[in-house]
Amino acid sequence: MQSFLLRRFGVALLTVWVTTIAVALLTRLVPGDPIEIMFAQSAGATREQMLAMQARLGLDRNVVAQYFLYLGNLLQGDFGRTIQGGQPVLPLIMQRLPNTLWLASTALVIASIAGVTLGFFAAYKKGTWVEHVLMTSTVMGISIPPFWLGLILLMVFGMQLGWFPVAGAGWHALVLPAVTLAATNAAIIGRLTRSSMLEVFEQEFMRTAWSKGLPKTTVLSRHALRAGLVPVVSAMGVQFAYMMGGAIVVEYIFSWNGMGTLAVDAILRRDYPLIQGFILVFSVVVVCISLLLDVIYAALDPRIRQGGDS
Amino acid sequence: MKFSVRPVRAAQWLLPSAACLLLAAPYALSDDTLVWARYGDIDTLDPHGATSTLSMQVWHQIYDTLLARDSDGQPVPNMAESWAVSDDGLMVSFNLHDDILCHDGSAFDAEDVVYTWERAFSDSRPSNTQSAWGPVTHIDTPDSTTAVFHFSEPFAAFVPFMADPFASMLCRGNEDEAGFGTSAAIGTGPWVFESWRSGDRILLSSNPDYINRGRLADNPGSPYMAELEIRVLREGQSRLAALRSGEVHIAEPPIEAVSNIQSDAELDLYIADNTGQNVFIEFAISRAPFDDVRARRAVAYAIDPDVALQLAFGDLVNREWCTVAQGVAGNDQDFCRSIGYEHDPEQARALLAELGHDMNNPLEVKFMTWTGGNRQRVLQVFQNQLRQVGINASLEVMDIGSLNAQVQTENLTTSGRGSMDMMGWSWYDPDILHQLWHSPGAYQGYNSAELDEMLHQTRVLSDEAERLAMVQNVQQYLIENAVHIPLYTPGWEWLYAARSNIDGFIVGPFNQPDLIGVRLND
Amino acid sequence: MTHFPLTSTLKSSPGTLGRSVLVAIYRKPTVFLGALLILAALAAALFAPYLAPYDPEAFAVGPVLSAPQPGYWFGTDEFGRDMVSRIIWGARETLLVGLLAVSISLGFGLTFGLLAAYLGGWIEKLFMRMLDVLFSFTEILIALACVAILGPSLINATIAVGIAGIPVYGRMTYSLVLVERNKPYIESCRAMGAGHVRIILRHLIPNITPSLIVVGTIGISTAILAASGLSFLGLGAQPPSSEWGAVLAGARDYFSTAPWLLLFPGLAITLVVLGFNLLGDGVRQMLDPKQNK
Repeated sequence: MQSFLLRRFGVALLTVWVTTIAVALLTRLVPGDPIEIMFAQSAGATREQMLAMQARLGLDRNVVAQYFLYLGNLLQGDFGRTIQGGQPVLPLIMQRLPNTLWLASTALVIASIAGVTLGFFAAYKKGTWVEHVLMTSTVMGISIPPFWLGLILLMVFGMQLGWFPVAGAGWHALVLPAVTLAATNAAIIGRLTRSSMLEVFEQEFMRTAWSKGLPKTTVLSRHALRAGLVPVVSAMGVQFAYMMGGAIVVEYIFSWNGMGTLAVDAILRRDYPLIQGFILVFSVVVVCISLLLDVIYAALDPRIRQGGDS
Repeated sequence: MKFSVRPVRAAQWLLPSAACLLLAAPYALSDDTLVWARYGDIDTLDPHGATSTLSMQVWHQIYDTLLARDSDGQPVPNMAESWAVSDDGLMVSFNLHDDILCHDGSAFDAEDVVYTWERAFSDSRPSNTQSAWGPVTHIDTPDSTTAVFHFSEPFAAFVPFMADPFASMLCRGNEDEAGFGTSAAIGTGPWVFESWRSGDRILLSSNPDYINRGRLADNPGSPYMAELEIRVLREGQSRLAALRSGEVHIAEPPIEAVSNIQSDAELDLYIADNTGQNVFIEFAISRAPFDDVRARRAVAYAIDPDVALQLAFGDLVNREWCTVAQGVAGNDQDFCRSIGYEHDPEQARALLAELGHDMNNPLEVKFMTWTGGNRQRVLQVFQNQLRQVGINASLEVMDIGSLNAQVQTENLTTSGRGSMDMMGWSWYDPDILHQLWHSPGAYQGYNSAELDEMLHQTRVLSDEAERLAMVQNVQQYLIENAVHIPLYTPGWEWLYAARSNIDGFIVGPFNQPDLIGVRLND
Repeated sequence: MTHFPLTSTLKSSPGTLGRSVLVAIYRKPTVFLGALLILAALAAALFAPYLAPYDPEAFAVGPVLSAPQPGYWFGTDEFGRDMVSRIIWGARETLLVGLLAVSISLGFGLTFGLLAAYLGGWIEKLFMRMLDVLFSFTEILIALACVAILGPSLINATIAVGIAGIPVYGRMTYSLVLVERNKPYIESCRAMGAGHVRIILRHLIPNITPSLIVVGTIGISTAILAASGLSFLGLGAQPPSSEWGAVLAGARDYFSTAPWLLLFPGLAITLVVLGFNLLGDGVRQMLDPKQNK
């Protein structure tokens, strides 16, 4: 377990470190003069302001000095200020972060429940029409563009039926975006569960359980499902990362006031300090939560607990 | 193994809670809160930190200005009970009311005027609209209610600027607020800043000490509503739905829904006029083909704005023939039209033929504009019309900030494909032409010594009639040389839909909504 | 992300891959449907000028904002443009974007993965760590960062999606080559004096190609989804492009007044993506011994 966790922890640290480098140098990769691009947005920008910003971002120095300047600022919690409006970047992002986490985790719960149910029954009814229908529906689920699904749900349940608000905050506004975000991943989890369950059904201990004459539900839930869910649960960290990524698009459709909406606007406005802050916060959050999920998984899985590496 | 995930149990738990969600009552409003929904958020609470209309409209609620505007857009006394311009135009003095209170409880006096100006002119963080103040050298404060601005040169556009939200008066108390612009904003306006959750909502409360001295609103004192909530709802359909459900009282409607609103007894439509907004075409004149006036004129003849506007907006905007928009001094449609370009594709083809282009050898250009306000639709119509005469325009639609950057880059580029753009500016004074076209110009674009001299005169001529005559000369120059081809007005955020039980809602000149006199009827 | 992971090298050579595809199409109706959908999209893309009844960018070929009706089967948009024509022409851009993006991912992924697995040593270690890091970023973040640097346009969105996919194909190639590298025939080739270049070009690449083609087929669907998503956000294709994501973005304003404008482009994306998924998944199942037991 320790070696597994150490490795995961190492990767997490490495990722965060690489992100800081990538983010710090992002402004260097922009074609044209980033300072010109930033400041052409504010009609009254003076030469002094532009030079000050250049110095602030370390663009007047070499790459290494720029990186350490940026890192130093980060360590002091200074993520810079937005070009448009001069707002401090970090609080701006942190204000939106809970909304995104809320959306992603709700969607993860929905996707897991739906996906596991679906995959379990598909495996249980192997070879029947049930499996075919379920598996075809997962291919559909993977194929529908989330942004289109979101619009359709909005049109039907928001506008036509009026069951859910078309935008806003709070629980009832969360349902449609969470379902939209969950759809693709429910399909993926469903496929994962199915193949894992199929393997479990073939295994020796299952035959033993059946032959002992235990009730059907006991065999299925106690033995089969528990074993079959191991690979599914181990993939939770990855799933969560994809939920966070998917949230960017889904938020935009539903005007959900999260990091994704902020990021898309920032990219369209070329507000580089905000883009940098977003990428950094996003990957740190994803890395930390994936790590957390892995730790929980490792604590639960006896094979890893006993020192094996998965 | 320790897993206890049980889908069946989980489903049992999830279903009832989903049902609860369905039954949850929609967000209920207090009767004392006025909710105004817009498509986007402010950039900052600091009036020196941004230029967007969205920001400016909020500053107008929190801060007040030395002068206000009457319904014709002319400056009238407000925080200043009177003002005087010296004969040489080098001094403008204001007499302030002595009973104005800042939101932090301190008294507003001439020192606050100095503070505001010094901040706008500071080296570290000058105002984005610093140039609009003109060549102010210093301010004298002979007593606490008198502020005298001194100029190095006469500046005719200064007095109207004092009625603009960009010249909002700040209280000195902001100096001690670390979060000024983000979590704090101390002004003297009708509404007191309470909170701002970025991307979501701004909450303001009625200022009990407010005295309405110059604003148009039909209310002499503090706002009738206890609170004002300015909410961000990005989607037009969402704003409309929220308006219909009563969750929101005032909102910008989607253009596509305007006819529905007009026939809806529960909703009223307000159309801002005299907004000062001017949407126009400009060119990268630094290089071929648009360094040649014939190419610019060909574009002007080829397009038919009336058709484009009808398709994109119906009757919701006006054709604009002048380079200063309707509502601004110097706007004279008949005069401008007499020198303007009527739709004439034949003329366009003839001009292009002179340049060696026709349908088989089309002129390839880039055509840019900024997102929103149905502008990309206008551009698509233009693209179609240009194609009829042999101009292939590829469209690029981007954020206004990126567009500003791009236009400047194009102007500084001396080779490659030609570039033009549909730009929009809003200003309350013909001085806009100086800001746009006096070299180096807003985008380092057109440079001409002759034009520069005329523009300079529009700043220093203190006789109003002489100044306006010069403004007309400038307009004539710009239009005849096809530097600035006016298209339409208003161009953005000029439509408001309100529930019909809203009384006293006013959209003042230059698109400034006033909510002081708003009351909710049952 | 590809949703159908390969569990091992597919038991196939490039020659038999074609036959397996035909067998899969013949045997499984879902694969047949997938092939049909792809063929339809390809036909639309290739023969757009002949198939489309109108110029996709021409105004007023029909009434403005008309619901589907004879002559304009998918309705018309706010400029009276024919939606059937726009969707047919859009197939061109949409498919091209998918193919290009996958080519970028595959090209770089193959190179990196192959070198890492074949050369081993510190290159392999570095590669593995880079993969770990890139996978933590998630594809959408990489794509967004690329668009943020390059600026929004269809070609930039394509490049962004392509770059974002490199880790997937890199890891795939890496694990495939790892299996091949340890097989006895490689050892004997080496013993017979074959050079590295020869082994890579003549043996490794041909042997992993079928697997990569299958993964790439499924990958096209992911790439199309991602690129049209970027266009929908305004970060990809710009008007008046008939790329489906961009058409959908333009239709958003007519959400309640002209829902058909939303319906058809979305359906087109779904069906093409479905086609690639069904075909790729079907062939994979045929060839993948573990899944096929």
